Amino acid sequence: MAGTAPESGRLSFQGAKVIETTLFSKRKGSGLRLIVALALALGLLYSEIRYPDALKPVRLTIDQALTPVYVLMGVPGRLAGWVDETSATSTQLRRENEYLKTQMLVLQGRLQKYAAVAAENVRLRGLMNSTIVVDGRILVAEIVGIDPDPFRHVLMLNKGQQDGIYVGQPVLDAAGIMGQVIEVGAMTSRVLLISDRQSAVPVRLNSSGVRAIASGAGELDRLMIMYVPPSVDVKPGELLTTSGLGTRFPAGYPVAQVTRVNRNSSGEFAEIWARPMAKLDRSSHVLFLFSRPPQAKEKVLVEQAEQKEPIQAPSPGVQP
Amino acid sequence: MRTRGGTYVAILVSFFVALLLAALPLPQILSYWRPEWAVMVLVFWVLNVPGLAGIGTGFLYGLLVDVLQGTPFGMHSLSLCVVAWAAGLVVRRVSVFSLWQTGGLVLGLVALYLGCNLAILSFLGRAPESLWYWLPALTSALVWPTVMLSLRRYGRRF
Repeated sequence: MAGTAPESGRLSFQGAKVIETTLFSKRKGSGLRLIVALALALGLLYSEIRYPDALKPVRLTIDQALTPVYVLMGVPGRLAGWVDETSATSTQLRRENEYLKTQMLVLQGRLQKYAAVAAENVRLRGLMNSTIVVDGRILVAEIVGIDPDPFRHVLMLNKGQQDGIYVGQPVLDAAGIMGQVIEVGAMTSRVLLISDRQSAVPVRLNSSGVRAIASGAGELDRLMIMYVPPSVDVKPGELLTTSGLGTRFPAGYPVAQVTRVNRNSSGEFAEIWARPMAKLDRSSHVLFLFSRPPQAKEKVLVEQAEQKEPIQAPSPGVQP
Repeated sequence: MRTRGGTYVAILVSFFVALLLAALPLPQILSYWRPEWAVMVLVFWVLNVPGLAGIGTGFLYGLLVDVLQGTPFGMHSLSLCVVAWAAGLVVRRVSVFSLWQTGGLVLGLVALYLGCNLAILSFLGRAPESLWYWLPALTSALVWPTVMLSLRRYGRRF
């Protein structure tokens, strides 16, 4: 600093100071703050993986705070449904009504047979001291969201802890198994579809009873059927049902239909692809299935055999 | 709307709207194209009101995103912190950028964000294999002008 022009020197110095306080002040220590934040985030990630239950209350609280987001998220779907309903003509409604009545008659006819078969099944299993439980309690839920990540096949449903939903609960639609609950919020829950790459369902070939695993391939319209030896008789069109192994999914529910069999694959097992029975991308209502915990014993079975009749019997007042 | 309170309200409302847009159900094909609204809104506020939005904001916002999307707690926090920090580094230069130049910046920042997420996901063994994973970086840069123009009146330019 030369002493010849002290004024201008001081001026520019002050100017720099002003700029520094307004513009650069926040930059100081931003690296340190990043390190602290990263350490915190990594700590959270670690504790979430190591101790999954520890952070659950925090998650649940934030989940509840996010309720307005969930409510608004469902608005477009509900709006579309409302427009659909109000714009239907009376002819359309009458036709639909007719169709539904016929459908109901057919289903009730089948149900009569089913009630008897189910009761017999329960009795026989009781005789064999088997602990497999056939439970019929079902809860209808609505799909309110799809996971924004296209690489995960996860649905969000509008039933949660308040309705008794638990992690691992099987979810169906009218045609077959859809997936299982992986996360429960206060009023919502997330369901991992069987087509997700992380999903695997123990299944059984309906005709031969050979066990296999239906593994998701990340595509909505096909599943990989694994661990079937090439010698097994399996043809396209064959139905795969849940085997009940692993106790997640109750036995006997339809999962998928075989579409392609390749026995010449180089591996030890046949290469089999199947199409999910459930309409994974088209259903708007789904069913939560309440299966009893596996430790439930024969006593429950007998109770259920008695309960079964009033639940399953078609109500006599309904006439087509 | 240049008061501090007004800016606070604008920040909260825009974060809420971004959460909503990020979670809104879309058909499978369209969802590959979904821009990363949360990143864009955060970047906008970091660039325009660096005193109010920064690494801490990114951290808290990331927790909300994690709960909403059902991802491991801390994953989006981590990547949004990194994005906020990176945006803070270039905040001086951005004031002379044109709209499309900031679009390029957003492309880079969203790619950084996706990269952080991918690193964590592959660590957990859940990494997507497809290259479509990177598409949001491009679409985010393309819709960036709409974010910029709709929020600009609430931001204090230096």
